[in-house]
Amino acid sequence: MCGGMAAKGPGGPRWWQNRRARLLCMLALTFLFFVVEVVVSRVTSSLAMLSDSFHMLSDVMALVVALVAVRFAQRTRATKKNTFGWVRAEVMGALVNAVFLTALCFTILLEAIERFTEPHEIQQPLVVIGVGVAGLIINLLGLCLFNHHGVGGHGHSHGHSHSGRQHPRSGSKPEQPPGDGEAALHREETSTLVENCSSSNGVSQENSELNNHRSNDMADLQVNGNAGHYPMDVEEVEEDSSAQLNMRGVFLHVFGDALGSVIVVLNALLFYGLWNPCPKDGPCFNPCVNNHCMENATLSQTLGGANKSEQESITVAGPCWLLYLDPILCLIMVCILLYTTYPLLRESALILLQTVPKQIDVHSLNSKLRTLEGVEAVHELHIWQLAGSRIIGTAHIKCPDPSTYMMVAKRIKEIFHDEGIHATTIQPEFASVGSESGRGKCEFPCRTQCALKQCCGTGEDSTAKKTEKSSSLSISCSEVVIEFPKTRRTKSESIPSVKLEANADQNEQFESSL
Amino acid sequence: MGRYSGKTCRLIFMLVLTVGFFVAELVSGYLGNSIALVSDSFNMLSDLISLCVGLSTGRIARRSRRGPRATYGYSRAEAVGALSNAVFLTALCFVVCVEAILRLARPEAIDDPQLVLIVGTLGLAVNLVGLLVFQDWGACCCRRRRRRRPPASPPAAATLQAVPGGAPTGEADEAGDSPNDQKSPEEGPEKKKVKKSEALNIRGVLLHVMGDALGSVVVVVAATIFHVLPLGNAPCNWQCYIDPSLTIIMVFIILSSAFPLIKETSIILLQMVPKGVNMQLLTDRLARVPGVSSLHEVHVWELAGGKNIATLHIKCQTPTDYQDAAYKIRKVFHEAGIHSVTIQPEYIDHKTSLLLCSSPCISKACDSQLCCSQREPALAKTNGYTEKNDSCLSALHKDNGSSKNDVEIPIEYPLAENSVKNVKNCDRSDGKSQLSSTRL
Repeated sequence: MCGGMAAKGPGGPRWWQNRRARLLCMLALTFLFFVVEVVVSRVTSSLAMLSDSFHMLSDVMALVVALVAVRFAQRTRATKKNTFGWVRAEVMGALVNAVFLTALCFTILLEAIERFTEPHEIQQPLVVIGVGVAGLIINLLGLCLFNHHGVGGHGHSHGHSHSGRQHPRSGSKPEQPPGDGEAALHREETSTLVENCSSSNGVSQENSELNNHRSNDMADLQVNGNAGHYPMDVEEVEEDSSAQLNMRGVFLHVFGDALGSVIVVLNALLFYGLWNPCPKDGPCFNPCVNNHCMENATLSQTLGGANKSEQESITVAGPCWLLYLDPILCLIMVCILLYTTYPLLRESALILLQTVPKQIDVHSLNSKLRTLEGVEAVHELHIWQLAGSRIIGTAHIKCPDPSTYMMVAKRIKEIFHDEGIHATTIQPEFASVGSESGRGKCEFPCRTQCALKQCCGTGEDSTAKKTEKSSSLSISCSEVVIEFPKTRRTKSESIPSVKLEANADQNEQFESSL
Repeated sequence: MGRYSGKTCRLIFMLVLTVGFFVAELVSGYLGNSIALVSDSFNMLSDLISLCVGLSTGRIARRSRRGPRATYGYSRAEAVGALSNAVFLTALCFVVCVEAILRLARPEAIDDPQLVLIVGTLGLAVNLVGLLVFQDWGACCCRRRRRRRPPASPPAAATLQAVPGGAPTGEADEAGDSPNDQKSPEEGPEKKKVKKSEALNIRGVLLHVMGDALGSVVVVVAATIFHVLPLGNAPCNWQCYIDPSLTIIMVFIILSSAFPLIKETSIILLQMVPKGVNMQLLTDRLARVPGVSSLHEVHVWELAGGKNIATLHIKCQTPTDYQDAAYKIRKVFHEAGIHSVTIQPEYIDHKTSLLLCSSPCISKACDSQLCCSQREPALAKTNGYTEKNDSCLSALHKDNGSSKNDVEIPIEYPLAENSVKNVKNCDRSDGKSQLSSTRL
């Protein structure tokens, strides 16, 4: 059932629907079950059922969050509001779900502690068992649906992305992991490319053509002309990684719910089997329920009375430890959930914090760049992960003159490429005449007052005093401004400034397929 | 930690207060055998958690050391912490709402309203103290010259963009930060930056405290009603519905103030263009900088707390073009409030469209991993106009890796025809004849 659900045929824009379809399917099921549970609880007037149904509702909310994130993340075009597109939405969705789950764990914990102090009996255990089993089935189904994005994850490392392998184009990729989402996804990618462009290169999520220009003569790595030569892992990693986070969030929610259902069913079964309830008629003594004020009185009364006369007709409510089973199991469940949620929380938080992805070593990158011939200094080196395998880097490279820079520019990009950083912005800086000492300093900082507003302002300290060979990783723009006019060497050559008026027909839509 | 001790001290103070009250409530709840007390004490626990999150993210953000693991430092931690707090609060509201609905379905009376009233009042007092603590300093601080104390954030719902109190209110935190930059002392922009990012952090905590305060208000009101009109053993009348209905109203109030916070943190975390920046205007201005033939891959985003970062690629004719243009470009950005700019120059060659990157990465295969695909350039502008993006560019030619010094003027571009504009300085001759634009 799961496999059949997930593995759709190749072709057609269904790869993304795969994720969406699963989410929608689960959403519908869960909501339906929630409604059923509410109705049943009203019919049987069981409060426990009603409160359990709201666990399903929290599931629904988590699914909605994930769906919204998936919808957003498909819009990878740059817009006026977001120059990167919305690819990060899934990471945020994952974080929101993880925090939501943590909060729910917290409330379950509180409830469990409350139950310790005031144990409840389960009323109508049969009904509870019935509905609990139904809920468990639905949750197991959900687990199945989202299994690939399970707790361990695929374990795809980003290291695949830059290996530069070339795979023969084929309709189906035999080396794909079984199941589905990813395979169908890639098939869709390739077929999209084939449909729209004669010579397609790379992969895209949109149906537009790839401009097949080459920026430099990296012929060996160029894959132009051969439609579809692209490393499959690239797509896989990309789609997997950030989508994976999102789906993991959903999976954890469903998992938590499943655990909850298991506990409910187990508890109800044991209760049904072992509990000796108080019959409605006849005296009954329940030793498990603490009632300070009346406890001792009742106890002595009933026992005293019983000792004298019919002892056997006093029923004592069943083994007390049963009442404590529920909170204990809940505690265990909370621990399990927290333990499995924490990695997701950490991962998505690290991406959102603009940290360096864990497979990249900035120190070695820095040293590689600096040892290039023609590179005098490297500063403001920033690497961060947008989402998935899209890693972005910026750096300021100081070179003696423009022609040197031309020579090393390709090498620089290669070095970044080897690390898996493909979107880079390299700013060349040329040493101003006569400022040999200014090696470590940024040639183009903003004004002095802006130092604190810069991304790497000198709020901490001005590390610009260090030279390029220092161990400091990146040197912030100095507060001491190198007077900009000095670097203007254009007095001798006047540049014709071609002034063109802004054309009225500017396209308002800064849309691009990304 | 010196200049930030104000905020941290307040958080720590609040933390201590909350812990104390939590413990007291818990103990008295067990001693007095009141479940209401015990459950109310756990409300304090959620407050505690949010305070801890606020404190720890504040600490993390403040030690924004750039290091091998985080090249931007951890200044974003506050945004993440604020988002976590807001989501946490939303989840708690959801649970509270559920319980209120259950209570509506099966109303119960409050037993022992006196005890509940007392504890509720105490809780309310603690929360009010907390609210005051976070606000009051701001009011008195702004009158001074704000040397050592960052101004506090105004109440949660209020705008954080305006500088509180004494500073001129005319400046919203627009893109045009610049009038201040030149005049105000160094502390000024720093305080605003500090205020903005810390404000997010504090706002998250404030939301929790406010939610707690509202909860205490509801408890007090309900307990008062039961105290004044005791129910005894009578079945539930309208009094029993007061508590749940007030609770639901309270949930709505809290949610309506949590969502703006979530939105604001989303702007930062999703790498959106910061609020004060108008991309259209910015790219217009940038395109008009002389020496810039076109620009593409323009990205503007906010790191945290007012620090905006931009990167872009420009196409120029010559390196000297670039250096001239670089300064002016920075000026444009500076006026827009963006002070960290990285500009990648590319030199025009006739093989590639003006709007596409000459050097995206070394191979086409990486296209999917670029932040923005190269097939249709994002926010690309040529000098004076934007090119409409065709779905398939007709010229699918291979680039032979022409050297970047090749500055032949593209003649065959479709752009050429509609670009003849008012060319004022076209007659300024130059040493390089190549630069005579065909557009003139």
